[in-house]
Amino acid sequence: MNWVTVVWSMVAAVCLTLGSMHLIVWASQREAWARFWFALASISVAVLAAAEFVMMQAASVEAYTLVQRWAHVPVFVILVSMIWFVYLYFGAGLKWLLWLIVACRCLVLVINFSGPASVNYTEITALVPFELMGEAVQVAVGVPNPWSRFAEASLLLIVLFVLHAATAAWRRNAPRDRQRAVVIGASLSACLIGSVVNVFLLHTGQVSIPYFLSWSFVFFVVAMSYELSVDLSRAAQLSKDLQETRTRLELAAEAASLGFWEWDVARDRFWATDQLQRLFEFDRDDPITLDAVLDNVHPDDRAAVDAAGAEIRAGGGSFRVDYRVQLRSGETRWVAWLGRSQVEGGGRMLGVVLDVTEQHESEHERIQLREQLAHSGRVTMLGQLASSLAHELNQPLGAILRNAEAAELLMAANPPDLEELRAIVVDIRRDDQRAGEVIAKLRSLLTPHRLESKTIEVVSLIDEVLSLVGSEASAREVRLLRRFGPSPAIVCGDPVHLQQVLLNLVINGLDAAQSGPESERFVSVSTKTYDDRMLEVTVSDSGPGVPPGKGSLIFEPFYTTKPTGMGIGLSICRTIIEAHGGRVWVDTQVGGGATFRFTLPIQPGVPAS
Amino acid sequence: MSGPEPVVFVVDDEDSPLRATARLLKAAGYAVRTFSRAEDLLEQLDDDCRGCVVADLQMPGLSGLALQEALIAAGRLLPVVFLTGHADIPNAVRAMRGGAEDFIEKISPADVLLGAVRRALERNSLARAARASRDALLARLGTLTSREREVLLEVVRGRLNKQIAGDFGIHERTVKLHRTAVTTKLGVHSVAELTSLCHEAGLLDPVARTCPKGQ
Repeated sequence: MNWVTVVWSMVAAVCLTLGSMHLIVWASQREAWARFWFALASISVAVLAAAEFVMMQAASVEAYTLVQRWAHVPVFVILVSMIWFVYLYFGAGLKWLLWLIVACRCLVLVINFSGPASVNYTEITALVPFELMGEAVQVAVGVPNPWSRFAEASLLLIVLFVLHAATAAWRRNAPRDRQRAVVIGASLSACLIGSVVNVFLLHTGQVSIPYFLSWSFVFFVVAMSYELSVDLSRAAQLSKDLQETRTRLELAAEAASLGFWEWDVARDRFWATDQLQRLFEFDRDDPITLDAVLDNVHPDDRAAVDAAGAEIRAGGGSFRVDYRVQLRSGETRWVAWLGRSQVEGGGRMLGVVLDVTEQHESEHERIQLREQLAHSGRVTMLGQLASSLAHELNQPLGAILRNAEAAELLMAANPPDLEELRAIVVDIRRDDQRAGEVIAKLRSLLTPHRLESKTIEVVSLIDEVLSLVGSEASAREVRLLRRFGPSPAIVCGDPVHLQQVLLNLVINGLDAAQSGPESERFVSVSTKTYDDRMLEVTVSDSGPGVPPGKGSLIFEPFYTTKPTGMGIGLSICRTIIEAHGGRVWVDTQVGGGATFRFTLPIQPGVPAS
Repeated sequence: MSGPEPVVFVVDDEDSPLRATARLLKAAGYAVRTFSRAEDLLEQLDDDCRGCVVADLQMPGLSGLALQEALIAAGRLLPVVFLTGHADIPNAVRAMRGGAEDFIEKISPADVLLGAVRRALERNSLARAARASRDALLARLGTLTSREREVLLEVVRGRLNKQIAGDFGIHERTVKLHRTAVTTKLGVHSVAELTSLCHEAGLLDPVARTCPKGQ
């Protein structure tokens, strides 16, 4: 055993160990290609060290030549891996220079194997002994190959490439990038320049020393390995952080009564935390299957849950399903499943489930309060219209009475005029229908009402409202004008509530218009659509208008300008319109009357129900 | 009295109540004409029209009250019966002050409407008769000479022939001749009759009265 053997073996062993380590890491993270190139370079350095050792111990010129020739294969792999590593690790570098270097090294390899000896020598004439670390080793003497300069020049190109990439990484100005740039850029450049000097001195025949190439590369390998190890230790830290985050998440989930779950679709097995089992009152030991989960869906929600389930299975992606469960204890609770379905790997869904009973109850309460407020608003409003509504009803009722009385007289005649009697019956039926319609309209507005969603043709809704206030308007000698856009706009919403908004705005308009001279009094309702996406309804009047600065105030609850007003009408309007996904506002201008506008999103391609 | 039959003119902007009211009135034996606009009725009335109007109070364009005012302005004697969907006091007061015959809710029973129409027609016929007799009287008064007219006015005021003769500076006998001529032309026999005639003809209006000299 001597020092040369010890040192070169150590170099080879270190490089092989580091290379294998990183290769194993790469095998589990296939996308980390920088690690792969590093491992390849590292293992090749080990091979090169072995080749150098064999050359030093060579028994004949032929053996030396053969090994030197083949040593260029690991050198090629080292250099190519090195530049790819740099390119990927820094995320910087000139791509064209990279390919130029690869091309140059390929050419060097071709020249190496096509010549009589190697790219370094055209011929090795003799081996001379050389004393290294107290041991005699073989050093070659021969005729240098002029192509050797080309190979050395390509090494300088690599230095250039590395320096450029390192500079680019430095300029990014992140501390971690700067450290990398210095460590890798400096170590690589040093080892490459060292190699160039080593090879240049040797091949020009100025000195006769053995190859120390693997030595210079080992610095690079160690420096690199240090860098990559820093990354590894960081990953370990991250994994620890992740664990902590998970613990925190579990605590938060516990506090928020969130249950985590994961469902293996193919095996129909749920993995779930205790919360889910508690929420659904499952026994701890029973396996949870889809059937078990769906078993306690509230009968009223069954159809909706089935539909949602089919949609999730077909569509994948994120989802949320809210429904009621009927527990074994007889209790009914609202639950919400939030999750994501992943199609790959046989199908998997994961997410959380939570108890949203309180949310739903308070939401329900809020809706009820809003409905009650809206209802009282409607009752108040119709109270204002009472006398004209009485007129509206008395009109057909009076006609029915007159017709009946006329019929009595006609029947007393001999012979009775049957033709006329028939006409009377037709008229009575029509008037009765008309009175019925008025009553139905009033009833729908007056009865407390559960919010529902329908597709509505807005224009006919407006017409109904205008017919309701028609006699009030004529009693107040205010003209009602209507101007509708060309396309019938279909919106989705609650017809009673939207009618309430229209009624409110029109009645306000009537009140305002009354202050003007009779000939100029009007309230006009018009519609307009924007890009077939938004419908705008405008209610304007000939009144004094809304003073500037009061435009948003009038939508506040309990703000009123009328001596007998409560100040809730417009605030209810705003609540209703916003619940429909629209906006309501008033144009404030001096003189020229008030113009109220509201928007509603149009339902594309839906027929009115 | 002769002339065309009295007609009930029914005006309502709404078709069905218009038809129903007309039917009842026809069945009750009246001649009826219907209009959906008050303006149309005003256009089609002539001087010879007789009867009454049954009109809706609330109508677009010319309202019932405006129709009544227009009828009075045009010197028509047609009384108006108003129909209303719901009775409100201010409108009722306005209508009655304007000389309406009645103000009826549409849902009131037939008797009320028919009674009002009957009264309206009676009133119209009385008014027409009064106007006819007054017209005849005025025609007769027209045949008097101006001196006879002056004498008549003085007589009606209760002055004696002597006083009249003194006032006018004529002979008492001449006054007597004028008085005879007046009673003959007007076909009356007593001063009382003369007085009531003059009253009827509106000659005793404070404005129309010519004040005697020196007073």
